[in-house]
Amino acid sequence: MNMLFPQIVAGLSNGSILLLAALGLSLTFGQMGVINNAHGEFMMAGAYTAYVMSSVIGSKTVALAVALVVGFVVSGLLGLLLDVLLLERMRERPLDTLLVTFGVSLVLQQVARDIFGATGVYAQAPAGLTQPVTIFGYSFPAARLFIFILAVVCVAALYAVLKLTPLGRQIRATSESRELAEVSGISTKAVDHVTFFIGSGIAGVAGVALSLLNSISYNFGTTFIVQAFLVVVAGGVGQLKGAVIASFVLGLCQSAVELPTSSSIAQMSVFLIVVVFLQFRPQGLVSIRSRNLA
Amino acid sequence: MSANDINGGNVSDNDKETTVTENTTNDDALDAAQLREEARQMRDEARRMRDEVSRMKDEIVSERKRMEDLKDELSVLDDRGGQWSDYLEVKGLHVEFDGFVAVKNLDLTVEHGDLRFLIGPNGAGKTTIIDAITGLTPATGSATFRGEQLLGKKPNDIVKLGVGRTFQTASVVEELSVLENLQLAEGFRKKTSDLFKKVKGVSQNIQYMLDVTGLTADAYKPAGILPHGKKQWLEIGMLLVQDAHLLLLDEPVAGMTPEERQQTGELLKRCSRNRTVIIVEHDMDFMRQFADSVTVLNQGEVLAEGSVEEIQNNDEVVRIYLGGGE
Amino acid sequence: MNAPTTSSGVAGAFISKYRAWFGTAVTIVLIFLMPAVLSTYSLGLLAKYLCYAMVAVGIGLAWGQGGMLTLGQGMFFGLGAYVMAIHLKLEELGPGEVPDFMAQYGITQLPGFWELFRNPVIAAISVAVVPGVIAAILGILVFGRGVRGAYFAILSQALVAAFSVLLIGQSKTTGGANGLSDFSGFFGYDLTDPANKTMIYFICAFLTLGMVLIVRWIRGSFMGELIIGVRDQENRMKFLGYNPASIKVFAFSLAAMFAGIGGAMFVPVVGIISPSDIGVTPSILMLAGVVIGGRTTLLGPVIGTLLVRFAETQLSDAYPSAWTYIEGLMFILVIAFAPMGLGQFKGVWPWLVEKIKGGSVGATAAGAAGQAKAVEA
Repeated sequence: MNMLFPQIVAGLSNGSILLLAALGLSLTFGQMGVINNAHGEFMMAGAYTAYVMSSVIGSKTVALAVALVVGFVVSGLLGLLLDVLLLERMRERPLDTLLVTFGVSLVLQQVARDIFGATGVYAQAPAGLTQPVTIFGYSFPAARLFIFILAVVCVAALYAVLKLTPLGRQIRATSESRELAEVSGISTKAVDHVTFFIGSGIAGVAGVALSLLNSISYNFGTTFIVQAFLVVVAGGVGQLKGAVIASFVLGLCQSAVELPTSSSIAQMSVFLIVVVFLQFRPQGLVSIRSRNLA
Repeated sequence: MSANDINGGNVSDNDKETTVTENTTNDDALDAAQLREEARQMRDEARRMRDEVSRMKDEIVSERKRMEDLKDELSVLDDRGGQWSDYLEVKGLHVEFDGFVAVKNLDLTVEHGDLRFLIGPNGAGKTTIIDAITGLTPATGSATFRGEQLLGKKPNDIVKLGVGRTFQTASVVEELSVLENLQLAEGFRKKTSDLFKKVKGVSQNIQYMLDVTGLTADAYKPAGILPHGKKQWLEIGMLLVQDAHLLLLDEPVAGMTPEERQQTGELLKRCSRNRTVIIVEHDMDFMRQFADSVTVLNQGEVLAEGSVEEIQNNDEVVRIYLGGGE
Repeated sequence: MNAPTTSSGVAGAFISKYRAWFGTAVTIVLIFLMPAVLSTYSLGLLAKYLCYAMVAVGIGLAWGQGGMLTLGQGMFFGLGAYVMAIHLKLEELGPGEVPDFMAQYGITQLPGFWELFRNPVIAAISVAVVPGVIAAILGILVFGRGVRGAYFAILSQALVAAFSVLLIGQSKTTGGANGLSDFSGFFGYDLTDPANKTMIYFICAFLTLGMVLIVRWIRGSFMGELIIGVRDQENRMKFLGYNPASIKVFAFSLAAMFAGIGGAMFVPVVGIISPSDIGVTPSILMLAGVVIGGRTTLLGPVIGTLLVRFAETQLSDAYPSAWTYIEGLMFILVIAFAPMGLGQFKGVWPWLVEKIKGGSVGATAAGAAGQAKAVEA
């Protein structure tokens, strides 16, 4: 019992990290079918934003707050640029976007290396986040708690935008049926751009938050991207709910396996869990439309 | 043959006779010239007749050959297919999607040689029935063809029982040629070792079906560039090549020109003589013209069943169509 | 090429009829020409490119023909490579000895899976069979449940990520991030001898040629039609009586075998195999040559890979930063604007020939008709 509680907490914390990394991906993949391999590099852009802000602004708390906003905008704009310049012309071949965005990620990594150097840097965190906090008698890193809360806030905000605002309605309508949305007077092109901006912006926020835990280098994003993709696959297309559940389940599984074995075994087992899971529930993933098999 | 020989003999006899006459009456030149003229005319006429006869003979031969070809073509459709016992029997078919009942306890029997139309308003469950029978949608109840249970089997195993279907949007492999598409449809019985052999030439089966569906000229074109109507014919051709005895067609004439509809209807009518054919269709004129029997569905249930006339005079059907249509 | 103008038509027809034989013969001549032209060092580089070309041939089949975008070929490459590396290490060791890195960890007993590959025959077979079987199992699980497209790509990527993490994590038995290196022999042949290096080059060259011929044979057979059918109309194929999963498993598994053989040859050629050769990014880079050369063409993947890897060695040392930009831009520009790669220019040659010949269009048409007849016969 005593062992179980910290393990669950660690699992939830892992889950919230996965969720932050996967949330934007889930939006762009689910709503638009774009598989953005450069998502990790958008996170990297957010992390470097945090680094720049923490070196420029004296108060680290202000720096973090500013970085969250600026990181959202910087990564969002990168995403917008990517969508306008490249992805827009590739709506008919979603699989190819995976390789194009891989090229983008190579370029972005090299840009980061040329600007910030190959060695890792740290963003100075606010003093309050560097100390452990005590929950139910257990000591727990405050930064992880902050990330957990931020992940919950991000999900809630995204949910609210999608469900409550006219923009959200347009996004959902577009993903449901492009033609129908177009006919109803929605500019699907504009909606796609906005969707991609938001999705990429969330990556920026995630990058800022995760810079509290990791050193920042040009390959900052590669540590997260593969698992974030797995979360999206396991969660199902266009399902915020699915991404949330998948993140936490995988996070819990990972910490459960990691404790008695090692992190490398844990990562392998996360992959196996997803493959096995797909054996039972491919329904969320496979959609056969009988009337036109295309 | 023999008639021609006799004719030819006659002509040469005539010739000789004329020569003799000329020699004996040498003194009367006028008479001789006249006779000669007459003889030439007769000879010419004989030649004309001979030509005519041989032309007619050729015509008969070619006509007979054409007849034989036609008979061949038709017999492909008639000889193949199955027997009277090949019928579809659906009992208590039930399909549900997340609590929504798409097909409700449905009974349906379609006999061998029948051309059955399934009609009904949108959402009546027409396509869902086909989906359930072909293994695309899970369903409960029973659907048997030739005594074999179809439900619960995988689509590719159901095909092996002689059940074939088409889809609302023609789904042919666009990058492969018409011929290659037909070969795909024919090839599922191949042994594994034969899969790695080159496909040589056009099998007789495919050649017949190319003729029957009027696609011979397009055989080497990529299927993707065919006009919509021809794509649907290719789909039907693929069903025939695949030797399906139960044909399930989902709106085969949607988007076709009136002539194409006519041709498709005639083709399907001919197919249905020795097969079991079920067509889901919205086009009422097409149905009136070609249906042997009709099943009207509404909200997953059978509303009425019978001949075209019976259906047209059914008040309930008229009410559903006029009430729900607009 | 030097055929007299009067008989050029005849020669052309002859070449087009026996194109495969002709191409094979020219390639064999080229393969034998290379050792005479290149230094031992360059020959080694060419052999390394050929190892990647073998992977590319498989990717061409699985992705170009079969539509399975596999981002995890590094795993199969790695499996082949590690099997070979383990075997070569064992060849050097005396009885009861363990490799240096194991000794450093204080391990005195060889792990079980090492012993498996001591026998040279078993090792040689395993470099293809192990990746093939693992790919088949994975394929049955994944394709059997209808998982495809982006999901498959992501899963294959996750697989190779997990595999390389596992290799690093199990450093006591795999050499960890350093990998396995310093091999002195190859099935009893001294690897420092230039003559043996040339022999290894020949093995690589003929293996690549063999794989191209196998893929050509498949493309020309009924299986080739099935693979394209499954790529473009996976669900429709079920209603034509086929199980799409088994067709995909076949193509995917064959591609994995090719990758495994490529990886196995990589070990004696380069002298080291480590997780950094087979991670997520190296795996996607294995697609670069296929992208450039044209994914749907037969020879494109090989030519593209040779070009890309050649450019890499020429540029990456002198301008490492610039090379990464070029690599990235290559993916971006080619995929976005010329998705068929060099294959996009496939129609240019016949078009040029027609332009130059001018009046002889009729002859070409007659030739085409003749071909059609030949097909019918």
